[in-house]
Amino acid sequence: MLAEALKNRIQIADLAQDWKKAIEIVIRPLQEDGCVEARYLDAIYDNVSVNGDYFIIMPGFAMPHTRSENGVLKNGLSFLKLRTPVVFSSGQEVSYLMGVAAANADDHIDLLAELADILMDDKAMEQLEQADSAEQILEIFR
Amino acid sequence: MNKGRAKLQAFGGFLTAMVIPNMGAFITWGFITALFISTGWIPNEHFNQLVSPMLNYLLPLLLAYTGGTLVYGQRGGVAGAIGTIGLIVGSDIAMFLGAMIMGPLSAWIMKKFDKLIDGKIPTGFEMIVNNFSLGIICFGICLCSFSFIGPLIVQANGLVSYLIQQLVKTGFLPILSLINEPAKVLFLNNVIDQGIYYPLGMQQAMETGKSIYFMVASNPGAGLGLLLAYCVFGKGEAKRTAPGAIIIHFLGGIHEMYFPYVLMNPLLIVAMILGNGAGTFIFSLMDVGLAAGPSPGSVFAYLMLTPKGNFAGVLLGVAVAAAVSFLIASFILKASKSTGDEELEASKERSRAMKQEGKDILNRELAATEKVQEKKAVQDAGAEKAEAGKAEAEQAAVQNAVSEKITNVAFACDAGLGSSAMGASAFKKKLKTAGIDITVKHYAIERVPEEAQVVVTHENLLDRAKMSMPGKRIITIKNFLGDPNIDLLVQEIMDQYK
Repeated sequence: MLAEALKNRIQIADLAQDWKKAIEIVIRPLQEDGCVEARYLDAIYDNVSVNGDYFIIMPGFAMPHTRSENGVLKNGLSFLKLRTPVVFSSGQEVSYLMGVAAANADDHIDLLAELADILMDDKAMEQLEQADSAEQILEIFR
Repeated sequence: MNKGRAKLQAFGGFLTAMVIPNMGAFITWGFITALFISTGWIPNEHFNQLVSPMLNYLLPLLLAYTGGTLVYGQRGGVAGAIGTIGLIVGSDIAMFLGAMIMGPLSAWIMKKFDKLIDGKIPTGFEMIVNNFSLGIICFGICLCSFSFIGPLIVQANGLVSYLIQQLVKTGFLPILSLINEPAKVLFLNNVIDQGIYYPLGMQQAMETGKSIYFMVASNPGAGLGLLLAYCVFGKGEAKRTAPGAIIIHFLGGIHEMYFPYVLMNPLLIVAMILGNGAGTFIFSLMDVGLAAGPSPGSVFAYLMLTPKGNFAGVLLGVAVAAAVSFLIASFILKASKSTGDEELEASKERSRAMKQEGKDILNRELAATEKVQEKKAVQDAGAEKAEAGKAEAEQAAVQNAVSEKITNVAFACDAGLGSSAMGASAFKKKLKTAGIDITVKHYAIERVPEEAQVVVTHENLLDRAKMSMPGKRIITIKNFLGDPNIDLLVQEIMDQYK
């Protein structure tokens, strides 16, 4: 199901100029697919400036998102792998970003539970590190 | 640390949490009022109709709903609003303070009742019982508040009028602000202004062309000082909204704008009393007055009604009131901040002491029970973190106090959608592997329900968490997945369920 949600929204990049750019890259497909309005990105930046980057849910893995009232149109996930990690405002390095658009608090919970399983699985994380194409990454999430 | 003071602080946090989410509504109302009332900048009879329903109904009900929600979730909010509408209809003044009492109180009554019948409702009937129990209980609350409030307000008005008359007799006018300021915040200012000061003022003005009585309660200076203090020393939302409030209050003359800032930290009434007292002192010293009652009490209305030759005195009185209240309010705001720091220091100290104690026990009884070891582990962990950061220290302190079995854990983040959901789901999984099934849910910080015994949130969000859930045990983490503090909590729960 996770793979289904991420299909066509997985990107790999060598590096991102800064964390803002990295978030912009990962959110872009969500915007293109009509999951979020343009203002969602700015709302995420605002969220970081107020609350810091608490959405780095484990070392190296960020899940940029914000409240649904900031322009979420429908549920959607997107993924970005950076070959060179980008440094976030608090100094933490991040290589993986999962963009999240959640229209309400509950619908996407199964997806996130699946994701949590993968993140807690050392083997899957190793595969993620090795992966060098969107297809390979999709395979891990399958 | 002084326990009473901590309690007071938690109470202050509660008041703030009740007011802050509604600042926008206050500002909307302030704009409408400053612009459209008959003495406003662009009087408009049509829009003017909005002013009094918003003030009398919307704002108090918002406060009541928010207050009720803080106590008992949405159900509490609904109960709070119903309880408060009784107050509103039963009185003819804006019931801000009443709403801030009645809202949480109604919610609390509802909560107690629900607890009483918890588990006694047959499956399938929860919805109907819940709706009807709220309906019936709030029916009672609403009738009570409606019946009692009217006579109460009449009494309060009578008392205030009496006190003012006595104080006027003393001839020392600055002392009047002792009654004026609290009465204003309680929305009894109309009875003072229209009932006492304006008649006195008009009498005097007829003889001499001016009167100081028009200024004793309407001086916008002290409110300005208070709001400036928030601009400089306030925190978060209060600080950010203060400049807008200044425009509406000082230039627009809508004094109600500063009331919520006083209600957030009631001690600030001291700054208001002394500020306006000082202003009145200057007015009487310089022997100045206004030609008529300024309405609304904005600095422009003041200048328009100032008779020739009185400008210096009037302006000085306003400025002095602002300066005095600014200084005192700054001091109070800063003091309530540093109290927070002291408390922090104290709790660090305490957790260090606890660590030592744990070691002593261990040394003395080498064959100590598992319980003690476990306790020590928790204390050690807590104490180490205390040296590193503030949040964990408090946590360690609370940790020891709570011995109740944990059955309900909440993960909280800003949106309650992503990070906290991940954290909750991973946490639940961990417990499940250990064969423990307890309630683990994820929320936006402000929505964490009262039932949650432990709240896990990111360290960046600690301040907000503390503000919206004073007294609750909060565990802070750096990462929502795989943080050592989460593992500690899992361990603690596993030990409880062994």
